[in-house]
Amino acid sequence: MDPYKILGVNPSATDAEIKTAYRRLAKKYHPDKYRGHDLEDLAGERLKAINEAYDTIQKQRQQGGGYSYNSGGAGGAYSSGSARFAEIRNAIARGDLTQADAMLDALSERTAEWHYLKGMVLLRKGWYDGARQHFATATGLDPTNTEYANAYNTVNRSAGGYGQAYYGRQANTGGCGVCDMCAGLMCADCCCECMGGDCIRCC
Amino acid sequence: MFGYIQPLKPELKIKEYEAYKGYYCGLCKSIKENYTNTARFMLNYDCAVLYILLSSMSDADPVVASERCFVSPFKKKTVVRCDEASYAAAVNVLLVCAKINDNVRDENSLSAKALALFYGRVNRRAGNGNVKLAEEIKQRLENLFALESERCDDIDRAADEFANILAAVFSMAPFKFINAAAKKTLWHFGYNLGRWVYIADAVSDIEKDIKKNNYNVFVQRFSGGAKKVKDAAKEEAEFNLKFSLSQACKAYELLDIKRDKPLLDNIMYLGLAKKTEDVLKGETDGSV
Repeated sequence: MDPYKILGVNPSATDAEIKTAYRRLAKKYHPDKYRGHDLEDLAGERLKAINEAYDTIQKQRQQGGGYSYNSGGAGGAYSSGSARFAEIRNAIARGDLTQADAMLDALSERTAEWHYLKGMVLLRKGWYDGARQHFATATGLDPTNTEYANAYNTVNRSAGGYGQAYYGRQANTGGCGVCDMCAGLMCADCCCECMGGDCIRCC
Repeated sequence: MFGYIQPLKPELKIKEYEAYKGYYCGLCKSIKENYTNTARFMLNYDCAVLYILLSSMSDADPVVASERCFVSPFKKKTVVRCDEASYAAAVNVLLVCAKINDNVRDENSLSAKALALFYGRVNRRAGNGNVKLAEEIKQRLENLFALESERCDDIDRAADEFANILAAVFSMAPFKFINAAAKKTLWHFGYNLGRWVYIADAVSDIEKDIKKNNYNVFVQRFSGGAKKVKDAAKEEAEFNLKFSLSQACKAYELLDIKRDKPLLDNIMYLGLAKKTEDVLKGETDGSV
């Protein structure tokens, strides 16, 4: 496929424009945004296509030194815990949510890590309300653990992040308020009067 | 349940608004041609969005015509005619008939029963063309009814059934351009959008459901009068609505949209955000 199309720019675009478009897309499909998400692999493929398109254009333009996006290490270290929890983490990583959920339900001790993992399972399942509650419980039980706190903050931030375009729009638009319309009419009337007519009699 | 998924009109360009209306008319005409003239009264905005999204993923160019209809007998209107219209029409009929049958069960009123009888044949015809989808919708509604009977107070469980209906609607669309990756993405898109619709509808209906003593997950969860339930539910509702939309947008951004992207962007980032705000402020009084 046409690398310019993938980046959504014209073939006549300047290098700077291409770089901006590339950065915008790389941010949009950044692995961090989709980590642990069911669509992670698809977002990864999309990012790969974007990287390749950018590299191709760079090479075509013979400027060398393709800008390559660093995705950063995925996975991350496990916080300590029993072997059982490691197994559950593996099941979640494999995408086997049913098994992970069954293993969690079989455990009687509900530690902070249990709540965190339960939250992860619910999050992948699309049951966000329960997921957030479990993350909150996990953070409450173990406030020093950054993994739990991160999960809790991330879900809240994602929800808060939605609608920025909508709220930003409201702040930016001067728009056609009632005052503007009145002012516009007054101006129109003045023009009219100059030309010998009058659309608002009283002024 | 209907009418929640719409663009924010003041932010549309005239050409985008024209296209939107064209798709809407195209869906209406398709309902008439595939079903009956009277089935056109079922037409809803949400299925127009399904039509726009599916058709924007197709490689084929849309056929735009200028036609008259009984709502506008003198002035010809733009009508977008694409292959995806007939699927959107079938979904429209199936979902509205499901809602009518649900009303029969909830209210058991004569008018609801008459309507169900009246539309029985079109419903069966739409189901015959989409057997798997019709079965999925039926099964999910059965599950939802069981949850309502046990007065479920778990938002996730209640929303899951309706979310699965929209997931099926989007992912089971029978088109060649939907490959395995697109199918998976559409499933997520539909699931999160459906989850949002269910929760938005539940929040809007709190007052009405208390009055009529109907099931509402928020009323089960928080006790007290309408005002008290609304205030108590607000924070949780806001999180769930916005998080679901943020996930739906993630899936949307992975879809291969070939046409009408500004219109779809408007719906996803502005229209749904506005509706969310209205629902949370209590400015929607519950739709049909």
